[in-house]
Amino acid sequence: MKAMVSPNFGKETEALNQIPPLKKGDVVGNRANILIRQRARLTLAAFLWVILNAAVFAQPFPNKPIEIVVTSNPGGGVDLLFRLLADELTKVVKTQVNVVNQTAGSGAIGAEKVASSRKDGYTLLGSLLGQVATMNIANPKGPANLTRDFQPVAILYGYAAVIMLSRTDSEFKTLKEVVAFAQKKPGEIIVGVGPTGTSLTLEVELLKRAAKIDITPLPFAGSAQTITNLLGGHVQLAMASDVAALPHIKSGKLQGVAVDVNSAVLPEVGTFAKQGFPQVNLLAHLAFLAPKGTPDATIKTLADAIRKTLQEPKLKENLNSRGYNVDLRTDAAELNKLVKEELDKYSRFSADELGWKPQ
Amino acid sequence: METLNFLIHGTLAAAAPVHLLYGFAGVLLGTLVGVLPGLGPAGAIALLLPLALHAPPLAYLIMLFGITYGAQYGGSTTSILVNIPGEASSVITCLDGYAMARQGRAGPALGIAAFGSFIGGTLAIFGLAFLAPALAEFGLHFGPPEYAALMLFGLTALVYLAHGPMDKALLMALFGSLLASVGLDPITGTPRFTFDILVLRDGVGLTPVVIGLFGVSEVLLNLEAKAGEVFQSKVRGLLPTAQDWRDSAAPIARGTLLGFLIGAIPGLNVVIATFASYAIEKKFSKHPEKFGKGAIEGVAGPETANNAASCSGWIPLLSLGLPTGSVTSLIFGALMIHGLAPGPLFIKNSPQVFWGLLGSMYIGNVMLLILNLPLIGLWIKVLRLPYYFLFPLIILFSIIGAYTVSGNVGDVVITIIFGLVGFLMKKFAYEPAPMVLGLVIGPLVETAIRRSLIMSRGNFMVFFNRPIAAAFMALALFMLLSPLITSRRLGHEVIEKLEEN
Repeated sequence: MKAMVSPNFGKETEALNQIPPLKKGDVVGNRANILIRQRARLTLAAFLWVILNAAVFAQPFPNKPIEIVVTSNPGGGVDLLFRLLADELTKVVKTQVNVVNQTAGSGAIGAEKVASSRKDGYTLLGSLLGQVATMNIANPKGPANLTRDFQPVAILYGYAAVIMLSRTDSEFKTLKEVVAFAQKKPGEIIVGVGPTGTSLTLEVELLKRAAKIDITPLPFAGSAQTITNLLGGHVQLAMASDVAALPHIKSGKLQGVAVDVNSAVLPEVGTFAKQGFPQVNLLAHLAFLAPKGTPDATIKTLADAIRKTLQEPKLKENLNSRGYNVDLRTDAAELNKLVKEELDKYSRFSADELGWKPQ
Repeated sequence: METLNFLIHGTLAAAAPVHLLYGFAGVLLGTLVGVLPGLGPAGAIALLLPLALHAPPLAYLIMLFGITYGAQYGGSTTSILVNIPGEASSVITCLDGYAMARQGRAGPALGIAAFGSFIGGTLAIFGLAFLAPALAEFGLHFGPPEYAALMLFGLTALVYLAHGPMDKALLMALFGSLLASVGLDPITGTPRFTFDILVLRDGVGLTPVVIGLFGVSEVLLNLEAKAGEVFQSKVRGLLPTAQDWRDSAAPIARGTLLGFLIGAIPGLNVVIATFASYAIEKKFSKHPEKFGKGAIEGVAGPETANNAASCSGWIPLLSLGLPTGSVTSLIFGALMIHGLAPGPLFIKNSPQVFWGLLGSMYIGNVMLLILNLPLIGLWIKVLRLPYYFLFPLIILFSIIGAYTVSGNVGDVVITIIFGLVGFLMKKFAYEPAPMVLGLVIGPLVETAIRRSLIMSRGNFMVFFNRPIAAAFMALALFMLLSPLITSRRLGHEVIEKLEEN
């Protein structure tokens, strides 16, 4: 109760301070009048505020729209998954679940917005776990910090695969051939990767370190652009999401060399681990994060709702057919372990490699 | 013949009542977001994305496509009337469109923009139907070195864009390119000129800059002028005259072809098509000195080109499944939601969607023409709005537009700053158009050159030993060296005329 009333008291004192000082010619009674009227108004406001809150507290969580702040572009793979989930989630929690995209500042602005929002479960961050972990490592005192500001609600483990691709007319069909060629001719293989700090780029770095080879990464804006350049023969290999690659593999133009996690749509492609490089393991986990300090009961309600949503056979089939892996983790201890693992994985890189080099 | 058959079937499918309804909603919305500065098709489609899960697939896609080409019709309206481009692709239309409006010829300018858009749009649909797969394959030959050479050629052609003194235009283009370098380095991810401000990591967006540079600054500039000073001339005629048509026929034909080709190359955007068309029209014109002072060719060409380019811009997405910009990425997402993964097999696997969309674009263009011609009378009345009403409205829409791009207050701040910059630029007679070109083309040039050099491991021959790249480099060199041969700079008439004035 104390916490609920205090903000109004604060405002009252502020308001008192703002009353203009007595000027010559003022009727003294006026100042008292203003004071009384202002006090009455504030009391009424405080009263209404308490009543409204009581009314809200009377209903169980959730009773108003929930907002998921997604730090990826609208229409992209991450965004689509959150939208599909939000739509089904709306039916399960019986209140509107909205997706809002906040991509500015490499996702840091959206993360900061959620971190500083009310700890009531109505504002969640929908993000790649690695994206938020990256901010921790590169900028520990930054506006958003995974361990300091957030509490995981649920994590979709390895929601989609990153795939290394080559053209079907190429000599690179498995990792072994790639590594053998790179050992003979260091730096000659050009591999199209994504923007700095994404797993598309970092996994190539990990492969270089693990296999002690030199291949030249060529950064592009994203999977689509990388695939375009592979199709045109301007690069020999390309890193992309399995979903983006699928149509081109089906049409027979491209083939998968390796994936970082077993792909729902391309099960025949072997993982990096299976081909001898378990170090290449930046699996993309999709996380629902709540601001730290959100009540446990609220977190549990949300996690249960997400679990129930994903048990819908129709949604599950829908997600699988689009290439999403559905492997949901909601156990608190396990979530914390995953967060720690993610931080460990990303701490193998410098701030520079993660795209957060300070200026 | 088979293609024509498919196209007819698609048009019939698109003529089903529900598709007509969604199509009309799309083109109407498109016209609106086109007219409103800042609010663009990408923003509108992002807002409509949640609907994707509930609307019938083909109808929904017809609506989204309608928004994209509808915006190209609407974009020119404010360029012509108040010198504020509704879309970045109508920046160049300001030059002559606004000049025409000041001479009381806003009607013919709007009319030729609508007819040009219609002709460019519908012809490009036929191009899309017959040439899509072939063109898409050709587009794949464009790797980083080809883009770099093409861009260098384009920048050389900038000479013809100069509408005031050359040095100022180049200076502005450089300023635009410099501005484009703000944000994360596209290759290494190192922050540049961000001063640890998070918003600047994403760079200075094209839309907020364009709104500020044109919209806000125009209001500031007009505040200085006495009320009623801007449009002294009486409005003469609502539609293009026979002479206007004779002047515009060739620019419309060239605009269609140019726009279609530029749009089909992934990575080039509609803005570049409009600048290229303007440059070419100025070169071909018998009276280049009239450009910038109300030449109808300067409206007809670019407005045709932007529609043709926005139509052929679908080629990489629909025939190869490769989204090339923010709008196509959003549509890619919408298709994915419906389980219609676009890819090389899209046309074969989902013929009803592909041909239905093409048919709907044909119908939509007819709708837009019918919608836009009567609107001309209404738009012209907007000019009669008192300034104390019109100006706050322009500022309001500018700020809403800047905010909706990414839902970020930082973009509003950028808009206001560039409003002041634009104001000063106009005061000192610096053209904002070359700056916009620099902002668009700068990052493309930078990434293309740097990627090429990574590919070749530092060897500059990469721009000369690949046929397409070499051809563009040769053209650029020819343009640069031509003064040595002809002993006069190409386009010298313009400069002489300007100097006489």
